[in-house]
Amino acid sequence: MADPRLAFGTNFQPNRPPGPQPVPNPGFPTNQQHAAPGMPPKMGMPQGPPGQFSGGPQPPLPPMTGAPSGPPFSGMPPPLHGNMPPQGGPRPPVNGFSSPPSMQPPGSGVTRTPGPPSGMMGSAASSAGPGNVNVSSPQIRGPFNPQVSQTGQMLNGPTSQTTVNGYQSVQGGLPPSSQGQQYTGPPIQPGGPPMGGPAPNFRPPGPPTHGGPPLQGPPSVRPPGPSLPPVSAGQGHPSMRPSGPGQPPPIVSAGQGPPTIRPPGPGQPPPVVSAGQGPPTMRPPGPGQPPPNVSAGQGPPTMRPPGLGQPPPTVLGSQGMGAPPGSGPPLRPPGPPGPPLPQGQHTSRPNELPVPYHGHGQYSHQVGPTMNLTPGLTPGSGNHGIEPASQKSSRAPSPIANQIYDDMEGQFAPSPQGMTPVSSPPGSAAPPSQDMSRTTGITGRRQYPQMPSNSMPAPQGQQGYQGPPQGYQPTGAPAYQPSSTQGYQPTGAPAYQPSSTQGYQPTGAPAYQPSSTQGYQPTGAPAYQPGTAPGYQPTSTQGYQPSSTTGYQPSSTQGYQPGGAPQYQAPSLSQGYQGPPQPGYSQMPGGQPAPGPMSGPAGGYQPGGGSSNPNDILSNFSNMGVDDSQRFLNLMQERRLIPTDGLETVKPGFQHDFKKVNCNPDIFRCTLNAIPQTSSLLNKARLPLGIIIHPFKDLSEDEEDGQLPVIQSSVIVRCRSCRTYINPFVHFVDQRRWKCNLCYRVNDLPDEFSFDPVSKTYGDPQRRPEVKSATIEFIAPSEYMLRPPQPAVYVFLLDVSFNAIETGYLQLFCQVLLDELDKVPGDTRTQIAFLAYDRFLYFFGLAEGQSQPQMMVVPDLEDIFLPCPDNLLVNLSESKDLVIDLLNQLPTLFQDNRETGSALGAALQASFKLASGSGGRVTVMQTVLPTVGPGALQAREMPSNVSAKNVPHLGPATDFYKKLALDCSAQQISVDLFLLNGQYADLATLTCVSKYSAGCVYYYPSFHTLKTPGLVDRFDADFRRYLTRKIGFEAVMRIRCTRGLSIHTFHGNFFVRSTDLLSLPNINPDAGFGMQMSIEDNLTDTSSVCFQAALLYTSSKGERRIRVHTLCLPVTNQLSDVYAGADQQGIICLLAKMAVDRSVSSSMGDARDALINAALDCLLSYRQQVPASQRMGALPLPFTLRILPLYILAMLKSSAFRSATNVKLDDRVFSLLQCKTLPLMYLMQSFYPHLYPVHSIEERTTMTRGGLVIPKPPLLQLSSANIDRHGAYLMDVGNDLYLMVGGAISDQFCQDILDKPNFMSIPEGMNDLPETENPSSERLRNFINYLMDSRPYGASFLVLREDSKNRQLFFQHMVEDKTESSMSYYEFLQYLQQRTKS
Amino acid sequence: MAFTFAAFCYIAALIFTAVLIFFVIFHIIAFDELKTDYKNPIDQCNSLNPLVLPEYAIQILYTVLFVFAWQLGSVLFNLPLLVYHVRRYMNRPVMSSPGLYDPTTIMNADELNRAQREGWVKLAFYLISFFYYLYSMIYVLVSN
Repeated sequence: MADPRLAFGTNFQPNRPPGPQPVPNPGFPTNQQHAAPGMPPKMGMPQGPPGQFSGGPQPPLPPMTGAPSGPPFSGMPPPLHGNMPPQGGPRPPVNGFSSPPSMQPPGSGVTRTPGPPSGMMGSAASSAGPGNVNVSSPQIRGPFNPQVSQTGQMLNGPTSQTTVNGYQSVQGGLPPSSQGQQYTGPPIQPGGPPMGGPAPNFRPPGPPTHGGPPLQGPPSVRPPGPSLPPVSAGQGHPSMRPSGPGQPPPIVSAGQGPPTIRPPGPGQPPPVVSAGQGPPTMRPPGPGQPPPNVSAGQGPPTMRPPGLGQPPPTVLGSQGMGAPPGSGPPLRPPGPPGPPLPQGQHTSRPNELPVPYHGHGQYSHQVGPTMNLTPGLTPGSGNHGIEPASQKSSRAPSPIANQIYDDMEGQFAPSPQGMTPVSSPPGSAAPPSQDMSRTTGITGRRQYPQMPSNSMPAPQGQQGYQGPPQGYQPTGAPAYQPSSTQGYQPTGAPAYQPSSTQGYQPTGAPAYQPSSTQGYQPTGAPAYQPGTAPGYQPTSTQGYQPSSTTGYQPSSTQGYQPGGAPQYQAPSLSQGYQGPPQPGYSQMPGGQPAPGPMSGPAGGYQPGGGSSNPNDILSNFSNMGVDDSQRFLNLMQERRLIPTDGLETVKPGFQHDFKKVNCNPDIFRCTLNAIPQTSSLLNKARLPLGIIIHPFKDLSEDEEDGQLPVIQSSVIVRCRSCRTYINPFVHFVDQRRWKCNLCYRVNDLPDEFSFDPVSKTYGDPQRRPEVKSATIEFIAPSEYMLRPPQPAVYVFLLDVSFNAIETGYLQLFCQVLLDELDKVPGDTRTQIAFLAYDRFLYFFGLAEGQSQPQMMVVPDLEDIFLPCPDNLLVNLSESKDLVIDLLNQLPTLFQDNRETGSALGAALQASFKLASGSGGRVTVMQTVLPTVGPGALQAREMPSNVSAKNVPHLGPATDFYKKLALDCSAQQISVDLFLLNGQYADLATLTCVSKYSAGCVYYYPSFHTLKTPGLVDRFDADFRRYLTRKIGFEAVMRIRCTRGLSIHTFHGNFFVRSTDLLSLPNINPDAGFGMQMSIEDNLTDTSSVCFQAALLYTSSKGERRIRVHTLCLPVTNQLSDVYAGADQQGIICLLAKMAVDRSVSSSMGDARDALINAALDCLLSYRQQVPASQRMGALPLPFTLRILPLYILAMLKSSAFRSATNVKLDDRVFSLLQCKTLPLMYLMQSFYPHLYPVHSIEERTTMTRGGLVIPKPPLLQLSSANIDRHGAYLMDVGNDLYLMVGGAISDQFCQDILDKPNFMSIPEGMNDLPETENPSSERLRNFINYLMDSRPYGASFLVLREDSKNRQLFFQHMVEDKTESSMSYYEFLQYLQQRTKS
Repeated sequence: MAFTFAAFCYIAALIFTAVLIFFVIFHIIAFDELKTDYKNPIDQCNSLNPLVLPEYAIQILYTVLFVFAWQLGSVLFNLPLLVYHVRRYMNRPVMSSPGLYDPTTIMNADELNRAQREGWVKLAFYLISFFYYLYSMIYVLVSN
């Protein structure tokens, strides 16, 4: 078999790690236990321990585990709180700091070595390994600097003041560390804190780095500047940082990443712990507590100064938040308050000072490797990173929404955390805190690797948080949180910064603890919690934080943050994250309760997030996704991959306005939203690069932006050299010239272009709709016509053989056509013709003036000719009566036909002759294999002698239909097939006629008007839509792209006329296309690339129109950005198309191997980005690619690629064809149907459409574990809807919905819902109608009893389940994991 | 010095090879035109496909002549290409007319690149063959 890799195109192949050679078997090693199911959720914990902790980690684990730890934690929290109050304790931190410094030195040395930035990087790399982090770091840094500086000042201020001396000294030591961490400043402190050190660091760095790290996204984002400012906190930094200018502290964020990374350092965790403890020790200086704080991370700085932790606490709070891990927990605690998420969190956070701990913990882990020092450092960095992030986020948020958020958060968080940590230390609880921190830290990171760890982290986080929260809360956490979560970014940031800055700096040193604490807390804490804390804790703790830290921040910083960040932070973090944690947390909460305030929130959160629904979690996740684009997950432990409200859509991460105007992703999207700069980078990522386009999508249906600007102008502005249409992404050199964004030629702007038709004035060309909208339609002048626009021409070819009459379709066809005859698109020139065939051809003369249709029989098939050619294709409006007459007669005309032969080939040739003068659309109704005349075929399907591996006959048996299609294409004729065959009809050959003439294919296997009512409904709906939908004639589509890129392969139905030109005799609104792209030249001299698809067509009204879609994407040279920008849906879609090619050109076995290898390649290459310590027992994958293995498994189980032999060849061929032509969202649904629980539909949120209230049940994943006998479930497969009623369903439900007294009386084959008069029935019917109306084709509906013999219809789609011949999702993951090791 | 059958074979091969070189150059130009959008793939395939079998036939013909002339060195030299040609033609897409190139798949970048690479490799091979046959012809003529 060919190398599977090859299958996928260049991209894939090249890099594939040889290592994992594809084991052909899909059978895969299954291993074992399904435990998976159970595992997933909780797994985090359990697994986490095993895999994750390499031992060292284990210690942490205990805590993580939740229950065990929980108690302690809880205990801890209180302590923390206690500490908090004592914040004086925090001050100790100061001491701690000093001590930390010592600690840090080593650690920091290690980590920091890199210098602030590098430190970030380094740490990130080392710990998280996430390249992302690094990347982000850079970005962050940029932005950070400002922030950092600010923060630095703040911190510095604080630290310096109180701790100043200590700090500085520390810093001296720290610097290294801090740098490593990124926090330059922090380092210093961090050193102390590391714990203690962290605090200092934090601020400075922390904010940036630390916060950043964990949050990465945030940090990075923050950096951006906006946040930074807010960071003003940064101010402190400046001063602090000065030293730290390192600020890079921003790096800190990176640092955070490291923290995450640290996980590896599980062993270190211990250090951390030690740190925690050690800190104490260290701290002894003081601040043992401080150390704690430090551990918390950021807190340290603050803490220290304050020494107390209290101030720090506040800070900590923020930090905690910031620190994904720590923060996460904290947040959650707040979370409980959850609802208030933001606020609650904030509050919590305050309490949560502990969070910092978490951060610390993480750091320590990271540091771990480095050793004690690391701990110190790590704490700082980690926490810092995180915390900073949170804070920043909050602040940052203000400027920018999400993105800033994250960034900001990251930065901020650090400081807050630092504070918190400190405080916690003071908290007496130092030990506890330490524990906490350790746990958190450790767990966090380590868990990360594992992913699942959520619970673990969460616990920690919570504990930590709680602690902080308390402390924090006092200050303003509440207020903060709110803001941070939502508004935070915007307002929050600014406000914060100022406050923090002021508070800090001023008070900073002197008052530090007190004042700073307060001041800080408010800001810091809030910010943190909102953003990072919530989300982070859960996920972040484990898998998330790491990833997020590393990858996320960066990404978020740039593109992501903006978009998703906002939402993310708020929702995702708090909820999603919390969710995960919760499990673990629950225990924690218990412990936390002590914290009282905190616990409250925490508890609330957890419940809400965690306990509540998986869905919620998911949603959180999804949200997080945005922020956390850079996060990675351990698939082995993360079970809930799909948010309850559907998968998120990744948007290109642009920092400026391009984002607003970019093309709707439903129309035009790229598999990678950050284009790799070089093909080697693309190969490194092992992801396919391509675009998925749905060019003629019905825009009127789109409520959001259904506005399609249509421009009628004598001049269409295009580049003179590459003919690109002017678009929103061009650069205006001046008022008179513009620079093409594809070929970079500078063109003159015609005078007309500066004329604004709206205001009738001349002026800025930017007002033109061409420059404001990425999707636009021009009405073309005559230069765009080779001939006068053709009229709408419709030819119907009807199979009237015995078999066809038996199915009864003819009656239905005539009825529908009669109904819709007036709605068929066209104008007065519209022409129509009918042609029936069996063994002979029957033409119908419909010339105007005849009294009735005239039928002519042509028995000669070898040399087709048209009898009375003028009367066959007639003007619809002139001969309407005859057409109606004919349609009424047709069913009876042939009702006694006994002829079984089918001369499809000859009929197609005749219709080609009919329409060749004008072009048009030929619609074929075919029910049997063509057996007569040209194009006759033979049954090739060989029942059941096929090995499971290979499926023969996927390709055409003859090129007759292909050649005919090419002839049609040349004459602008397209052939659409409706296949209603009951037996094998060789779709592989027949569909060629549609494939190359840009037609479409509908398939209704075993159609019969009486026996298959579901199919009849579908046919009816499909055919109505088919007749009345928009249509474009004589179309061509050209895809242009920026120099350096080229189109490698096209997927879809069309004929490729040149390297970038598709010939589409017809274009319909339901056709999707895909193109694989290759990078021919390096894109080093450009920051963005554009794709432009221009579709030139003749509308049914005879207008020549051009529809132009433009997509602009940033270019990156960072692997982490590539991952962060990956569009998993687009990738899956493109992989499916590539696999279809492979299955036809090579074999089905190769295609399956290639799919598996695609997943494997991605896992292997991403693995290189994850620190080795996190790889243990984990299956890391970026958040943005998390569903890749799941969907690949779903594809392997789909009827297209299934290895089982029980799939009819025609069904398989049709499925393969669908993979090529279905628009993305429907293709995704066909692989992985939507499953909704509908037994409690009334409890769900609703939306309103057209005056109807539509319930929105959550999406469930397709695992039988989600199916309860007491429930009822609706599965939406695209073409079919199944309502599965559980055996133990309540009689009430049966009565209300189905109008039957009980389950036993539900009949088989029920395909409609009775219209009973009660709210639940109405809701369900509204929902089902809504689902059916929201797709462009028909769907059948069927009620299935759980004990029905047809239940396989439903359960075959449960792709996460194990079957006799296929693996469960968990087994598949295990298989992949095994392959990645070999 | 005698005009043997072997010498005749080499002279024939020399001429055939010259013809093949023209074929290959045409092939290369044709694909370059495709790549640069000068021609419609249907037209291009229609002009390329009729040349495929003649090229293969000529190559097989002089290889067979070498067998009869018992010029084993030349036979071995040509054998790999002969095998490649046979295999290539056996794996051609489903087509009713002779030829290798299917207009619906020819625009695929992989196909285009493969065809172009094949063209250049063959050009090099035939050029080397040309000089090899020239040398062999003289050698045969002289040695006898």
